[in-house]
Amino acid sequence: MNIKQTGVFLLSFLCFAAVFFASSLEVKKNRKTLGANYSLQINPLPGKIIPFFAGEFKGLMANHILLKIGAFVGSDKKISFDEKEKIRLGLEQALTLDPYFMQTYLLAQALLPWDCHMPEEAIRLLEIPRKHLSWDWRPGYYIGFNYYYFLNNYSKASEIFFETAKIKNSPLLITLLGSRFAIKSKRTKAAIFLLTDMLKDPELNKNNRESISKRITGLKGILLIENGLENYKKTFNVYPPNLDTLIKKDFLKNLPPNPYYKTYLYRQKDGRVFFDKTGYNK
Amino acid sequence: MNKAWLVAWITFKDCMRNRALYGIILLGLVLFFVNIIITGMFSWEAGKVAVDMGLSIISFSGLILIFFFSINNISNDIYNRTIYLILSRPVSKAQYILGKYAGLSLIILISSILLGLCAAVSVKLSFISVDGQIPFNFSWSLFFLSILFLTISLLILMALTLFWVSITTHQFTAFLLSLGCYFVGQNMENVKNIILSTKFLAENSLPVKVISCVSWVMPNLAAFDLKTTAAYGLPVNTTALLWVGLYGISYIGVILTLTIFIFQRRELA
Repeated sequence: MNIKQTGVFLLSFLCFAAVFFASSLEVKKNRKTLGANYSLQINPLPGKIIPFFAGEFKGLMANHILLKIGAFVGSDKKISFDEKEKIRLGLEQALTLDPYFMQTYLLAQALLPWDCHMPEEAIRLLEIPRKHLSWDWRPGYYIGFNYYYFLNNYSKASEIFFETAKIKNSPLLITLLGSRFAIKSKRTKAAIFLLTDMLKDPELNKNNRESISKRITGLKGILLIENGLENYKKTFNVYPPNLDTLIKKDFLKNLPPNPYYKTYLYRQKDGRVFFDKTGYNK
Repeated sequence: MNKAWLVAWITFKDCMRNRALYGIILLGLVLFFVNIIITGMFSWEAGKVAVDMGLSIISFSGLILIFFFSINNISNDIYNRTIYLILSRPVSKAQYILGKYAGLSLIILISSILLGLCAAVSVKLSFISVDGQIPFNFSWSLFFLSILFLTISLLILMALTLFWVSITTHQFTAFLLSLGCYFVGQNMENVKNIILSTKFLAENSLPVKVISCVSWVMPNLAAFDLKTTAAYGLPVNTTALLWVGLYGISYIGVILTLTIFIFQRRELA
Protein backbone atom coordinates (compact mmCIF):
# COMPACT_ATOMS: atom_id res chain seq x y z
CA MET A 1 0.00 0.00 0.00
CA ASN A 2 1.61 3.28 -1.10
CA ILE A 3 1.36 6.63 0.72
CA LYS A 4 -1.50 7.85 -1.49
CA GLN A 5 -3.58 4.74 -0.88
CA THR A 6 -2.88 4.86 2.85
CA GLY A 7 -3.97 8.51 2.91
CA VAL A 8 -7.24 7.73 1.09
CA PHE A 9 -7.86 4.80 3.43
CA LEU A 10 -7.23 6.86 6.56
CA LEU A 11 -9.30 9.79 5.29
CA SER A 12 -12.23 7.49 4.40
CA PHE A 13 -12.00 5.76 7.76
CA LEU A 14 -11.93 9.05 9.66
CA CYS A 15 -14.84 10.48 7.63
CA PHE A 16 -17.01 7.40 8.25
CA ALA A 17 -15.98 7.24 11.91
CA ALA A 18 -16.83 10.94 12.45
CA VAL A 19 -20.25 10.61 10.76
CA PHE A 20 -20.92 7.39 12.69
CA PHE A 21 -19.97 9.04 15.99
CA ALA A 22 -22.20 12.08 15.34
CA SER A 23 -25.16 10.03 14.13
CA SER A 24 -24.77 7.55 16.97
CA LEU A 25 -24.95 10.38 19.51
CA GLU A 26 -28.08 11.73 17.82
CA VAL A 27 -29.79 8.34 17.68
CA LYS A 28 -28.99 7.71 21.35
CA LYS A 29 -30.37 11.14 22.30
CA ASN A 30 -33.58 10.64 20.32
CA ARG A 31 -34.23 7.11 21.54
CA LYS A 32 -33.52 7.98 25.18
CA THR A 33 -36.69 10.03 25.57
CA LEU A 34 -38.81 7.38 23.93
CA GLY A 35 -37.90 4.65 26.40
CA ALA A 36 -40.14 1.65 26.81
CA ASN A 37 -43.34 3.60 26.33
CA TYR A 38 -42.99 4.71 22.74
CA SER A 39 -45.41 2.11 21.45
CA LEU A 40 -46.86 -1.30 22.08
CA GLN A 41 -46.31 -3.60 19.13
CA ILE A 42 -48.69 -6.54 19.29
CA ASN A 43 -49.28 -8.71 16.28
CA PRO A 44 -52.93 -8.15 15.22
CA LEU A 45 -53.59 -11.89 14.88
CA PRO A 46 -56.30 -13.48 17.03
CA GLY A 47 -55.16 -15.62 19.95
CA LYS A 48 -56.12 -18.90 18.29
CA ILE A 49 -53.95 -18.22 15.23
CA ILE A 50 -50.75 -17.18 17.03
CA PRO A 51 -49.70 -20.74 18.09
CA PHE A 52 -49.17 -21.62 14.41
CA PHE A 53 -46.41 -19.05 14.20
CA ALA A 54 -44.89 -20.01 17.52
CA GLY A 55 -44.62 -23.72 16.70
CA GLU A 56 -42.75 -25.43 19.53
CA PHE A 57 -41.57 -22.08 20.94
CA LYS A 58 -44.96 -21.17 22.42
CA GLY A 59 -43.67 -20.62 25.95
CA LEU A 60 -40.88 -18.37 24.73
CA MET A 61 -43.26 -16.30 22.59
CA ALA A 62 -45.70 -15.94 25.50
CA ASN A 63 -42.86 -14.66 27.71
CA HIS A 64 -41.88 -12.17 25.01
CA ILE A 65 -45.42 -10.78 24.62
CA LEU A 66 -45.78 -10.52 28.38
CA LEU A 67 -42.51 -8.62 28.71
CA LYS A 68 -43.64 -6.16 26.02
CA ILE A 69 -46.95 -5.49 27.78
CA GLY A 70 -45.23 -5.25 31.15
CA ALA A 71 -42.67 -2.75 29.83
CA PHE A 72 -45.37 -0.68 28.16
CA VAL A 73 -47.63 -0.55 31.21
CA GLY A 74 -44.66 0.07 33.49
CA SER A 75 -43.71 3.17 31.51
CA ASP A 76 -46.67 5.03 33.11
CA LYS A 77 -47.84 6.36 29.75
CA LYS A 78 -51.52 7.21 29.58
CA ILE A 79 -53.12 4.22 27.84
CA SER A 80 -55.33 5.09 24.88
CA PHE A 81 -58.39 3.08 23.82
CA ASP A 82 -56.48 1.44 20.95
CA GLU A 83 -53.65 0.51 23.27
CA LYS A 84 -56.11 -1.04 25.75
CA GLU A 85 -57.35 -3.22 22.94
CA LYS A 86 -53.75 -4.14 22.08
CA ILE A 87 -53.10 -5.08 25.71
CA ARG A 88 -56.18 -7.28 25.69
CA LEU A 89 -55.12 -8.95 22.46
CA GLY A 90 -51.55 -9.44 23.71
CA LEU A 91 -52.79 -11.05 26.92
CA GLU A 92 -55.13 -13.27 24.93
CA GLN A 93 -52.24 -14.35 22.71
CA ALA A 94 -49.97 -14.99 25.72
CA LEU A 95 -52.65 -17.04 27.49
CA THR A 96 -53.38 -19.06 24.37
CA LEU A 97 -49.69 -19.78 23.92
CA ASP A 98 -49.11 -20.63 27.57
CA PRO A 99 -52.34 -21.07 29.55
CA TYR A 100 -50.47 -22.06 32.72
CA PHE A 101 -48.38 -18.92 33.28
CA MET A 102 -49.45 -17.22 36.50
CA GLN A 103 -47.88 -13.88 35.59
CA THR A 104 -50.10 -13.57 32.50
CA TYR A 105 -53.38 -14.08 34.31
CA LEU A 106 -52.28 -11.88 37.21
CA LEU A 107 -51.47 -9.13 34.72
CA ALA A 108 -54.80 -9.72 32.92
CA GLN A 109 -56.67 -9.33 36.22
CA ALA A 110 -54.61 -6.30 37.21
CA LEU A 111 -55.07 -4.48 33.90
CA LEU A 112 -58.25 -5.46 32.09
CA PRO A 113 -61.02 -4.83 34.65
CA TRP A 114 -59.29 -1.95 36.45
CA ASP A 115 -57.25 0.08 33.93
CA CYS A 116 -58.91 -0.99 30.68
CA HIS A 117 -62.48 -1.24 32.04
CA MET A 118 -62.97 -4.62 30.38
CA PRO A 119 -64.24 -6.94 33.15
CA GLU A 120 -66.05 -9.23 30.70
CA GLU A 121 -62.84 -9.64 28.69
CA ALA A 122 -60.90 -10.31 31.90
CA ILE A 123 -63.39 -13.04 32.79
CA ARG A 124 -63.14 -14.55 29.31
CA LEU A 125 -59.34 -14.65 29.48
CA LEU A 126 -59.25 -15.92 33.07
CA GLU A 127 -61.41 -18.85 32.01
CA ILE A 128 -58.38 -20.12 30.02
CA PRO A 129 -56.08 -20.66 33.07
CA ARG A 130 -59.10 -21.73 35.16
CA LYS A 131 -59.69 -24.57 32.71
CA HIS A 132 -56.03 -25.65 32.66
CA LEU A 133 -54.92 -24.97 36.25
CA SER A 134 -57.32 -27.32 38.00
CA TRP A 135 -55.22 -27.05 41.20
CA ASP A 136 -55.07 -23.23 41.33
CA TRP A 137 -57.92 -21.34 43.00
CA ARG A 138 -56.79 -17.87 41.90
CA PRO A 139 -58.32 -17.71 38.39
CA GLY A 140 -61.72 -18.79 39.76
CA TYR A 141 -61.42 -16.33 42.62
CA TYR A 142 -60.68 -13.44 40.23
CA ILE A 143 -63.53 -14.43 37.90
CA GLY A 144 -65.95 -14.52 40.85
CA PHE A 145 -64.61 -11.22 42.10
CA ASN A 146 -65.13 -9.60 38.68
CA TYR A 147 -68.69 -10.85 38.49
CA TYR A 148 -69.40 -9.47 41.92
CA TYR A 149 -67.44 -6.22 41.93
CA PHE A 150 -67.63 -5.01 38.34
CA LEU A 151 -70.76 -6.67 36.97
CA ASN A 152 -72.90 -6.91 40.13
CA ASN A 153 -73.81 -10.46 39.14
CA TYR A 154 -74.04 -12.07 42.59
CA SER A 155 -75.59 -15.28 41.35
CA LYS A 156 -72.72 -16.00 38.96
CA ALA A 157 -70.15 -14.81 41.54
CA SER A 158 -71.48 -17.22 44.13
CA GLU A 159 -71.60 -20.07 41.60
CA ILE A 160 -67.96 -19.49 40.60
CA PHE A 161 -66.83 -19.09 44.23
CA PHE A 162 -68.51 -22.35 45.21
CA GLU A 163 -66.86 -24.20 42.32
CA THR A 164 -63.50 -22.65 43.24
CA ALA A 165 -63.96 -23.50 46.91
CA LYS A 166 -63.84 -27.19 45.96
CA ILE A 167 -60.20 -26.84 44.91
CA LYS A 168 -57.86 -28.31 47.50
CA ASN A 169 -56.10 -25.70 49.68
CA SER A 170 -58.32 -22.86 48.46
CA PRO A 171 -58.73 -20.22 51.18
CA LEU A 172 -61.80 -20.38 53.37
CA LEU A 173 -62.58 -16.79 52.38
CA ILE A 174 -63.78 -18.03 48.97
CA THR A 175 -66.39 -20.26 50.59
CA LEU A 176 -67.51 -17.52 52.92
CA LEU A 177 -67.75 -14.99 50.08
CA GLY A 178 -69.62 -17.52 47.95
CA SER A 179 -72.18 -18.01 50.68
CA ARG A 180 -72.52 -14.25 51.17
CA PHE A 181 -73.26 -13.75 47.49
CA ALA A 182 -75.59 -16.73 47.54
CA ILE A 183 -77.78 -14.87 50.03
CA LYS A 184 -77.83 -11.85 47.75
CA SER A 185 -78.87 -13.98 44.83
CA LYS A 186 -81.31 -16.02 46.90
CA ARG A 187 -79.22 -19.21 46.64
CA THR A 188 -79.10 -19.74 50.41
CA LYS A 189 -80.06 -23.41 50.19
CA ALA A 190 -77.24 -24.11 47.74
CA ALA A 191 -74.79 -22.37 50.08
CA ILE A 192 -75.90 -24.45 53.08
CA PHE A 193 -75.61 -27.62 51.05
CA LEU A 194 -72.07 -26.79 49.88
CA LEU A 195 -70.85 -25.75 53.33
CA THR A 196 -72.32 -28.84 54.99
CA ASP A 197 -70.56 -30.93 52.38
CA MET A 198 -67.28 -29.12 53.07
CA LEU A 199 -67.57 -29.91 56.79
CA LYS A 200 -67.18 -33.58 55.91
CA ASP A 201 -63.61 -32.96 54.79
CA PRO A 202 -61.38 -34.69 57.41
CA GLU A 203 -58.44 -32.44 56.52
CA LEU A 204 -60.28 -29.29 57.61
CA ASN A 205 -58.54 -27.63 60.57
CA LYS A 206 -60.33 -26.62 63.76
CA ASN A 207 -60.53 -22.89 62.99
CA ASN A 208 -61.91 -23.42 59.49
CA ARG A 209 -64.40 -25.97 60.81
CA GLU A 210 -65.65 -23.43 63.35
CA SER A 211 -65.89 -20.67 60.71
CA ILE A 212 -67.89 -22.90 58.36
CA SER A 213 -70.20 -24.12 61.14
CA LYS A 214 -70.81 -20.52 62.16
CA ARG A 215 -71.64 -19.58 58.57
CA ILE A 216 -74.04 -22.55 58.25
CA THR A 217 -75.88 -21.43 61.40
CA GLY A 218 -76.19 -17.90 59.96
CA LEU A 219 -77.39 -19.18 56.61
CA LYS A 220 -79.91 -21.57 58.15
CA GLY A 221 -81.27 -18.65 60.17
CA ILE A 222 -81.63 -16.57 56.99
CA LEU A 223 -83.32 -19.44 55.17
CA LEU A 224 -85.84 -19.87 57.98
CA ILE A 225 -86.66 -16.15 58.05
CA GLU A 226 -86.82 -15.95 54.24
CA ASN A 227 -89.38 -18.78 54.21
CA GLY A 228 -91.44 -16.93 56.81
CA LEU A 229 -91.19 -13.73 54.76
CA GLU A 230 -92.32 -15.45 51.56
CA ASN A 231 -95.30 -17.06 53.35
CA TYR A 232 -96.21 -13.68 54.84
CA LYS A 233 -96.06 -12.10 51.37
CA LYS A 234 -98.27 -14.80 49.90
CA THR A 235 -100.91 -13.99 52.55
CA PHE A 236 -100.69 -10.19 52.69
CA ASN A 237 -99.09 -9.37 49.30
CA VAL A 238 -96.44 -7.24 51.03
CA TYR A 239 -93.39 -7.92 53.14
CA PRO A 240 -93.84 -7.28 56.89
CA PRO A 241 -92.60 -3.94 58.33
CA ASN A 242 -90.17 -5.81 60.65
CA LEU A 243 -89.16 -9.32 61.65
CA ASP A 244 -91.12 -9.22 64.96
CA THR A 245 -94.33 -9.09 62.90
CA LEU A 246 -93.50 -12.57 61.57
CA ILE A 247 -93.53 -13.91 65.14
CA LYS A 248 -96.66 -11.97 66.15
CA LYS A 249 -98.54 -13.31 63.12
CA ASP A 250 -97.30 -16.89 63.72
CA PHE A 251 -95.18 -17.15 60.57
CA LEU A 252 -92.16 -17.81 62.77
CA LYS A 253 -91.94 -19.22 66.31
CA ASN A 254 -88.93 -17.09 67.22
CA LEU A 255 -85.93 -15.51 65.54
CA PRO A 256 -83.11 -18.02 65.03
CA PRO A 257 -79.71 -17.25 66.60
CA ASN A 258 -77.32 -15.10 64.56
CA PRO A 259 -73.65 -15.95 65.20
CA TYR A 260 -72.42 -12.69 63.63
CA TYR A 261 -74.63 -9.94 65.05
CA LYS A 262 -77.12 -9.35 67.85
CA THR A 263 -80.02 -9.92 65.44
CA TYR A 264 -80.73 -10.41 61.73
CA LEU A 265 -80.93 -7.28 59.59
CA TYR A 266 -84.04 -6.93 57.49
CA ARG A 267 -84.72 -4.76 54.43
CA GLN A 268 -88.44 -4.42 53.83
CA LYS A 269 -88.39 -3.07 50.25
CA ASP A 270 -87.08 -6.36 48.78
CA GLY A 271 -87.68 -8.71 51.69
CA ARG A 272 -83.96 -9.48 52.11
CA VAL A 273 -82.32 -10.71 55.32
CA PHE A 274 -78.64 -10.35 56.22
CA PHE A 275 -76.54 -11.61 59.09
CA ASP A 276 -74.30 -8.52 59.27
CA LYS A 277 -74.07 -4.91 58.16
CA THR A 278 -71.58 -5.65 55.34
CA GLY A 279 -74.22 -7.41 53.28
CA TYR A 280 -76.99 -5.08 54.36
CA ASN A 281 -75.21 -1.87 53.33
CA LYS A 282 -73.94 -3.14 49.99
CA MET B 1 -22.85 -52.72 8.88
CA ASN B 2 -19.26 -51.83 9.78
CA LYS B 3 -19.08 -49.82 6.57
CA ALA B 4 -22.12 -47.80 7.59
CA TRP B 5 -20.40 -47.04 10.89
CA LEU B 6 -17.32 -45.99 8.97
CA VAL B 7 -19.38 -43.52 6.91
CA ALA B 8 -20.98 -42.33 10.16
CA TRP B 9 -17.58 -41.78 11.74
CA ILE B 10 -16.30 -39.89 8.69
CA THR B 11 -19.45 -37.73 8.66
CA PHE B 12 -19.02 -37.03 12.35
CA LYS B 13 -15.36 -36.10 11.92
CA ASP B 14 -16.27 -33.90 8.96
CA CYS B 15 -18.80 -32.06 11.11
CA MET B 16 -16.23 -31.65 13.85
CA ARG B 17 -13.81 -30.20 11.33
CA ASN B 18 -16.44 -27.61 10.48
CA ARG B 19 -16.39 -26.59 14.14
CA ALA B 20 -20.14 -26.93 14.55
CA LEU B 21 -19.75 -28.11 18.11
CA TYR B 22 -17.67 -25.09 19.06
CA GLY B 23 -20.59 -22.90 18.05
CA ILE B 24 -22.93 -25.05 20.10
CA ILE B 25 -20.72 -24.80 23.18
CA LEU B 26 -20.61 -21.03 22.69
CA LEU B 27 -24.41 -21.00 22.47
CA GLY B 28 -24.52 -22.98 25.70
CA LEU B 29 -22.34 -20.43 27.46
CA VAL B 30 -24.48 -17.57 26.17
CA LEU B 31 -27.50 -19.48 27.43
CA PHE B 32 -26.12 -19.34 30.99
CA PHE B 33 -26.13 -15.57 31.10
CA VAL B 34 -29.20 -14.89 28.95
CA ASN B 35 -31.30 -17.22 31.07
CA ILE B 36 -30.30 -15.51 34.31
CA ILE B 37 -30.87 -12.01 32.86
CA ILE B 38 -34.25 -12.82 31.31
CA THR B 39 -35.63 -14.69 34.32
CA GLY B 40 -34.81 -11.62 36.41
CA MET B 41 -37.32 -9.66 34.32
CA PHE B 42 -40.25 -11.74 35.57
CA SER B 43 -41.77 -11.35 38.97
CA TRP B 44 -43.84 -14.57 39.03
CA GLU B 45 -42.83 -18.10 38.14
CA ALA B 46 -39.43 -17.01 36.88
CA GLY B 47 -38.31 -20.64 37.21
CA LYS B 48 -40.75 -21.56 34.48
CA VAL B 49 -39.20 -18.92 32.21
CA ALA B 50 -35.76 -20.43 32.85
CA VAL B 51 -36.95 -23.92 31.87
CA ASP B 52 -38.73 -22.50 28.81
CA MET B 53 -35.60 -20.70 27.67
CA GLY B 54 -33.29 -23.64 28.27
CA LEU B 55 -35.37 -26.18 26.37
CA SER B 56 -36.17 -23.77 23.53
CA ILE B 57 -32.48 -23.06 22.96
CA ILE B 58 -31.71 -26.80 22.69
CA SER B 59 -34.50 -27.12 20.13
CA PHE B 60 -33.43 -24.03 18.25
CA SER B 61 -29.79 -25.08 17.95
CA GLY B 62 -30.89 -28.56 16.80
CA LEU B 63 -33.00 -26.98 14.06
CA ILE B 64 -30.08 -24.83 12.94
CA LEU B 65 -27.86 -27.91 12.79
CA ILE B 66 -30.41 -29.75 10.66
CA PHE B 67 -31.41 -26.96 8.30
CA PHE B 68 -28.03 -25.36 7.73
CA PHE B 69 -25.52 -28.01 8.56
CA SER B 70 -26.90 -31.41 7.61
CA ILE B 71 -28.43 -30.33 4.30
CA ASN B 72 -25.18 -28.64 3.41
CA ASN B 73 -23.15 -31.70 4.38
CA ILE B 74 -25.06 -34.19 2.21
CA SER B 75 -25.66 -31.84 -0.74
CA ASN B 76 -21.97 -30.99 -0.82
CA ASP B 77 -21.14 -34.69 -1.02
CA ILE B 78 -23.21 -34.96 -4.20
CA TYR B 79 -22.37 -31.53 -5.61
CA ASN B 80 -18.62 -31.84 -5.04
CA ARG B 81 -18.77 -35.47 -6.18
CA THR B 82 -17.04 -36.70 -3.02
CA ILE B 83 -19.83 -39.27 -2.85
CA TYR B 84 -18.11 -41.16 -5.69
CA LEU B 85 -15.04 -41.59 -3.53
CA ILE B 86 -17.20 -43.36 -0.96
CA LEU B 87 -19.44 -45.30 -3.34
CA SER B 88 -16.49 -46.47 -5.49
CA ARG B 89 -15.30 -48.41 -2.43
CA PRO B 90 -17.37 -51.39 -1.36
CA VAL B 91 -19.97 -49.19 0.30
CA SER B 92 -23.56 -49.55 -0.86
CA LYS B 93 -25.95 -46.63 -1.22
CA ALA B 94 -27.97 -47.99 1.70
CA GLN B 95 -24.87 -48.07 3.90
CA TYR B 96 -24.06 -44.54 2.80
CA ILE B 97 -27.52 -43.23 3.78
CA LEU B 98 -27.52 -45.08 7.10
CA GLY B 99 -23.98 -43.92 7.82
CA LYS B 100 -24.80 -40.32 6.99
CA TYR B 101 -27.89 -40.44 9.19
CA ALA B 102 -25.99 -42.01 12.07
CA GLY B 103 -23.12 -39.49 11.80
CA LEU B 104 -25.39 -36.47 11.67
CA SER B 105 -27.60 -37.90 14.43
CA LEU B 106 -24.52 -38.25 16.59
CA ILE B 107 -23.90 -34.52 16.21
CA ILE B 108 -27.54 -33.80 17.16
CA LEU B 109 -27.21 -36.12 20.17
CA ILE B 110 -23.99 -34.53 21.37
CA SER B 111 -25.49 -31.07 20.86
CA SER B 112 -28.57 -32.05 22.89
CA ILE B 113 -26.45 -33.53 25.68
CA LEU B 114 -24.09 -30.54 25.85
CA LEU B 115 -26.84 -27.94 25.66
CA GLY B 116 -29.03 -30.02 27.96
CA LEU B 117 -26.34 -29.92 30.62
CA CYS B 118 -25.78 -26.19 30.04
CA ALA B 119 -29.55 -25.63 30.25
CA ALA B 120 -29.77 -27.67 33.47
CA VAL B 121 -26.99 -25.63 35.09
CA SER B 122 -28.50 -22.34 33.91
CA VAL B 123 -31.95 -23.40 35.17
CA LYS B 124 -30.39 -24.33 38.53
CA LEU B 125 -28.64 -20.94 38.68
CA SER B 126 -31.90 -19.20 37.75
CA PHE B 127 -33.71 -21.07 40.53
CA ILE B 128 -31.12 -19.82 42.98
CA SER B 129 -31.25 -16.25 41.66
CA VAL B 130 -35.07 -16.05 41.71
CA ASP B 131 -35.26 -17.58 45.17
CA GLY B 132 -38.35 -19.70 45.76
CA GLN B 133 -39.89 -19.39 42.30
CA ILE B 134 -39.30 -23.00 41.33
CA PRO B 135 -42.30 -24.40 39.43
CA PHE B 136 -44.63 -26.13 41.90
CA ASN B 137 -44.18 -29.73 40.69
CA PHE B 138 -40.86 -29.30 38.93
CA SER B 139 -38.75 -32.43 38.58
CA TRP B 140 -35.39 -32.88 36.92
CA SER B 141 -36.44 -36.25 35.52
CA LEU B 142 -39.25 -34.52 33.61
CA PHE B 143 -36.81 -31.86 32.44
CA PHE B 144 -34.44 -34.48 31.00
CA LEU B 145 -37.36 -36.50 29.62
CA SER B 146 -38.40 -33.38 27.74
CA ILE B 147 -34.87 -33.10 26.29
CA LEU B 148 -35.03 -36.76 25.24
CA PHE B 149 -38.33 -36.29 23.38
CA LEU B 150 -37.11 -33.05 21.89
CA THR B 151 -34.06 -34.92 20.56
CA ILE B 152 -36.29 -37.66 19.07
CA SER B 153 -38.30 -34.97 17.24
CA LEU B 154 -35.02 -33.54 15.88
CA LEU B 155 -33.99 -37.00 14.72
CA ILE B 156 -37.32 -37.39 12.89
CA LEU B 157 -36.75 -34.08 11.17
CA MET B 158 -33.21 -35.17 10.38
CA ALA B 159 -34.55 -38.31 8.65
CA LEU B 160 -37.02 -36.20 6.67
CA THR B 161 -34.26 -33.81 5.64
CA LEU B 162 -32.17 -36.73 4.41
CA PHE B 163 -35.22 -37.94 2.48
CA TRP B 164 -35.66 -34.60 0.73
CA VAL B 165 -31.95 -34.28 -0.02
CA SER B 166 -32.01 -37.74 -1.57
CA ILE B 167 -34.84 -36.66 -3.89
CA THR B 168 -33.49 -33.24 -4.78
CA THR B 169 -29.82 -32.40 -4.61
CA HIS B 170 -30.61 -28.71 -4.61
CA GLN B 171 -29.88 -27.38 -1.14
CA PHE B 172 -32.49 -24.64 -1.10
CA THR B 173 -35.31 -26.90 -2.33
CA ALA B 174 -34.40 -29.50 0.27
CA PHE B 175 -34.32 -26.75 2.91
CA LEU B 176 -37.77 -25.44 1.94
CA LEU B 177 -39.31 -28.91 1.88
CA SER B 178 -37.79 -29.81 5.25
CA LEU B 179 -38.93 -26.49 6.73
CA GLY B 180 -42.43 -27.14 5.36
CA CYS B 181 -42.48 -30.57 6.99
CA TYR B 182 -41.38 -29.00 10.27
CA PHE B 183 -44.21 -26.44 10.25
CA VAL B 184 -46.81 -28.99 9.18
CA GLY B 185 -45.57 -31.41 11.84
CA GLN B 186 -45.76 -28.77 14.56
CA ASN B 187 -49.19 -27.41 13.64
CA MET B 188 -51.16 -30.21 11.99
CA GLU B 189 -52.72 -31.42 15.26
CA ASN B 190 -53.51 -27.84 16.33
CA VAL B 191 -55.22 -27.00 13.04
CA LYS B 192 -57.38 -30.11 13.19
CA ASN B 193 -58.36 -29.48 16.83
CA ILE B 194 -59.27 -25.86 16.14
CA ILE B 195 -61.31 -26.71 13.06
CA LEU B 196 -63.23 -29.38 14.96
CA SER B 197 -63.64 -27.41 18.20
CA THR B 198 -64.90 -24.26 16.49
CA LYS B 199 -67.20 -26.38 14.29
CA PHE B 200 -66.02 -24.21 11.43
CA LEU B 201 -66.01 -27.30 9.25
CA ALA B 202 -67.82 -30.60 9.65
CA GLU B 203 -65.86 -33.66 10.67
CA ASN B 204 -66.46 -35.32 7.31
CA SER B 205 -65.64 -32.22 5.24
CA LEU B 206 -62.88 -32.37 2.64
CA PRO B 207 -60.29 -30.16 4.45
CA VAL B 208 -60.66 -32.23 7.64
CA LYS B 209 -60.28 -35.42 5.62
CA VAL B 210 -57.17 -33.95 3.94
CA ILE B 211 -55.67 -33.08 7.33
CA SER B 212 -56.46 -36.58 8.58
CA CYS B 213 -54.67 -38.05 5.56
CA VAL B 214 -51.71 -35.69 6.03
CA SER B 215 -51.45 -36.81 9.65
CA TRP B 216 -50.61 -40.31 8.38
CA VAL B 217 -47.83 -38.99 6.17
CA MET B 218 -46.32 -36.12 8.16
CA PRO B 219 -44.97 -36.65 11.67
CA ASN B 220 -46.87 -35.11 14.56
CA LEU B 221 -43.92 -33.22 16.04
CA ALA B 222 -46.15 -31.46 18.58
CA ALA B 223 -46.52 -34.81 20.40
CA PHE B 224 -42.80 -34.67 21.27
CA ASP B 225 -43.02 -31.15 22.69
CA LEU B 226 -42.93 -31.56 26.48
CA LYS B 227 -41.62 -28.07 27.23
CA THR B 228 -44.80 -26.90 28.96
CA THR B 229 -45.05 -30.19 30.84
CA ALA B 230 -41.48 -29.79 32.10
CA ALA B 231 -41.86 -26.08 32.84
CA TYR B 232 -44.87 -26.62 35.14
CA GLY B 233 -44.23 -30.19 36.24
CA LEU B 234 -47.55 -31.29 34.77
CA PRO B 235 -48.49 -34.95 35.22
CA VAL B 236 -47.41 -37.28 32.41
CA ASN B 237 -49.02 -40.41 31.09
CA THR B 238 -46.13 -42.89 30.89
CA THR B 239 -47.93 -45.30 28.56
CA ALA B 240 -48.89 -42.47 26.19
CA LEU B 241 -45.28 -41.25 26.21
CA LEU B 242 -43.98 -44.73 25.41
CA TRP B 243 -46.33 -44.83 22.43
CA VAL B 244 -45.05 -41.42 21.31
CA GLY B 245 -41.47 -42.69 21.56
CA LEU B 246 -42.34 -45.79 19.55
CA TYR B 247 -44.19 -43.64 17.01
CA GLY B 248 -41.08 -41.48 16.56
CA ILE B 249 -38.65 -44.37 16.17
CA SER B 250 -40.92 -46.23 13.74
CA TYR B 251 -41.42 -43.04 11.69
CA ILE B 252 -37.65 -42.64 11.42
CA GLY B 253 -37.45 -46.28 10.27
CA VAL B 254 -40.11 -45.79 7.60
CA ILE B 255 -38.53 -42.61 6.26
CA LEU B 256 -35.00 -44.05 6.19
CA THR B 257 -36.24 -47.13 4.33
CA LEU B 258 -37.98 -44.91 1.76
CA THR B 259 -34.85 -42.74 1.47
CA ILE B 260 -32.69 -45.79 0.80
CA PHE B 261 -35.23 -47.08 -1.74
CA ILE B 262 -35.24 -43.77 -3.65
CA PHE B 263 -31.50 -43.21 -3.36
CA GLN B 264 -30.70 -46.66 -4.73
CA ARG B 265 -32.70 -45.89 -7.88
CA ARG B 266 -31.18 -42.53 -8.35
CA GLU B 267 -28.62 -41.78 -11.05
CA LEU B 268 -25.87 -39.77 -9.42
CA ALA B 269 -23.84 -39.09 -12.54
